[in-house]
This record gives sequence, structure tokens and C-alpha cells, in this order.
Amino acid sequence: MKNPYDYLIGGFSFIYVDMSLYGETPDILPDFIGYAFFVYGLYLLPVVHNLKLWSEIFAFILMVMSFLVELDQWLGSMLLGQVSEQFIQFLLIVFMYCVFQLLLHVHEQKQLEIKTFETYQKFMALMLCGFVIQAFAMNVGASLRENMLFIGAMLQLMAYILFSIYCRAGSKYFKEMKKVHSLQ
Amino acid sequence: MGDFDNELFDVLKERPDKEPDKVFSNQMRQQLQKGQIVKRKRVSVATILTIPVTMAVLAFLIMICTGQTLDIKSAAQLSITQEKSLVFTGSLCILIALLTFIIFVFSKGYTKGWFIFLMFSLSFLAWVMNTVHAENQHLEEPTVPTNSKSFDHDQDQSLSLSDKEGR
Repeated sequence: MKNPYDYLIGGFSFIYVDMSLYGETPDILPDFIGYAFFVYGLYLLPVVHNLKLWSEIFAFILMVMSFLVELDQWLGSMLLGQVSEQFIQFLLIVFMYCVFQLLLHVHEQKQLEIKTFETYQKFMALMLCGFVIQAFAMNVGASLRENMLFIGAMLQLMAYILFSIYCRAGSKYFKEMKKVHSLQ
Repeated sequence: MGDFDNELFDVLKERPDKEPDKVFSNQMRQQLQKGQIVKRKRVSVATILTIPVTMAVLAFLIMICTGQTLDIKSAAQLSITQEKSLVFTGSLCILIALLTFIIFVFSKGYTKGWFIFLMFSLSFLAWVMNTVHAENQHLEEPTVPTNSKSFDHDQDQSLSLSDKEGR
């Protein structure tokens, strides 16, 4: 069985990292692929819960929305503009909240459950604080705006690192569980 | 008929009815009566709102009928710098309050409920308000030529023309 945590961190990496050559070519790691990873990763999670289905649907909707935004950028029409990107960023935070709610239901191991909860607290706080700071950065002076955007980006980078560390721990746990099941 | 009455009597005797709780009903009655008294005393929101609105409408009607105008518009306006600094301070306060609230909610470890809903909606509202404000600012700001080279070039041209005219 494939490891769902690898897909989750892969998906988040695709969403978080924007790579374009010299700032002119379109994003090499498009966000919609990241959401597709999320859909598959959530599908692989060993849990039976209503939230799983809802999260999958949510990820699918985000995938379609981000595809439209990317398409808009590729074509250069810029009909949706910067606002749509920020709106999707907010939806991503809400989506990650749903994912964490689901992850809190997955584990039977106490240690990993505690880790999930701690990561949830820090990750969500950092992501939301980053988003709010970036939202307020729109209406300040140019010099202060750059600083605020930088702080927001740093907070979200910290959230990304935290999530990757958590996924690594989850991946380890999943491999151990797989070994135990294969021995049985 | 007599048998039927007896049977009915037996059934009625055996039914699991309880004695009415007189103490409870008395308490309830007293509470309701007290509530009614309080309600009678309380001034409703509608009354509070109706009086100033009626006065404002009357004042407006009098102003229109007598042809008077109130020239206090400019008195209430702040200078541009003051307004900007006030807006900046206000938005900074809101930002700090919002960040504190977010940190408080997650440090307390809430996973669902009223606080989570409030936090997400406030964050979204903050983003929407900022976007709208930024859009309005862009519309209000006049387009200033930022290219200093073109400005200098134009100035040089006008200077050279005036020199030629002088000669």
C-alpha cells in the first residue's frame, strides 16, 4: 500500500513552492497538481470518516479553481487577477484545517496523536497569521509593505517546514504499521 | 354496560399518571410573572432607535422646507496626513488584535466550535475589507508620472525652446 503522507507533503510542496524561470515562464510546479496529490493522499489515509469524503471533494474543487487561475496566468489574460490567488490561499488554510481534523482521527498511537495536535496548533496559527499580515500589507507604504510581506512569507515557510516534519513522522509510523501488518 | 364501566375504571386506575409537581409549577408561574414585570419595565431597542431617527427626519424636513443648509462638512473633515495616520494606527490595532485572537484560539487548543468559526470569518473579513480599501485607494489616487527621465526630457525641451525664443 502506498504511503499517504508522502502524497500529502508532495501536494503541499507543489502548492507552496512557485518556480518559474527568470520570472517569465509559467509555474513549473503548478498548484493544481498539488491538490491532485492531496486528493489521492486523502484517499489513501486509513480512516473511515465523513470528513474524508468532504476533504476529498474540497481538494478537488480547489484543484479545479487553481487550474483556472493557472490557465488565466498562462494565457496572460489576467481576468481573475491577484485577488483570486489570495482567495485560494485562504481556502487552502480552511482546507488544511479540515485535513488536520481528519488526521486527528487517524492515529491510534498516542505519541503521533500528540504530535498531530501540536502541529495543528502551530501550523494553523502560522498560516493564518501570515495570511492576515499579507492582507494588511496591501494598504501600507511601499517600504513597510515589503517587510510585512516578508514576515508573512516567513511565517508560512515555518508552517511548511512544520508540516513536512510532521509528515516525515507520519510516514515513519505508517511504514512501521505496514511492517507489523505484513508480519501478522 | 356495567362490565364496560368496570373495565374502564380498572384501566383508569392502572394508568401511570403522576401527581402534578405543584412546587415546580408555582416556581414557573412566579418566574413568568417576574419576567412579564421586567418586560414591561424594559425599554425596547425599537423605542431607542425610533426617537433619534424621527428627530433626524424632522430636522431634515425642516431644513428642506426652510431652505437651510448645515455647513459643518468641512469641520468634520481631517487633513490628509492626520487621516492617513489615523487609518494606519487603526488598521495596525486591528491587525494586532486579530493576530492575538488567532494565537489565543490555537494556544487554547480549540479544534471546533464558535471560536474557530469566528476566527476564520474575521480573517476573511479582514482580507475582504483590505482588498476593498486598496481598490478604493487606487481609484482615488491620481495617476502621477513616475518616469523621471521623461519628465526631465520634457523639461529640457521646454528650457531649450525658451532659450531659442530668447535668442
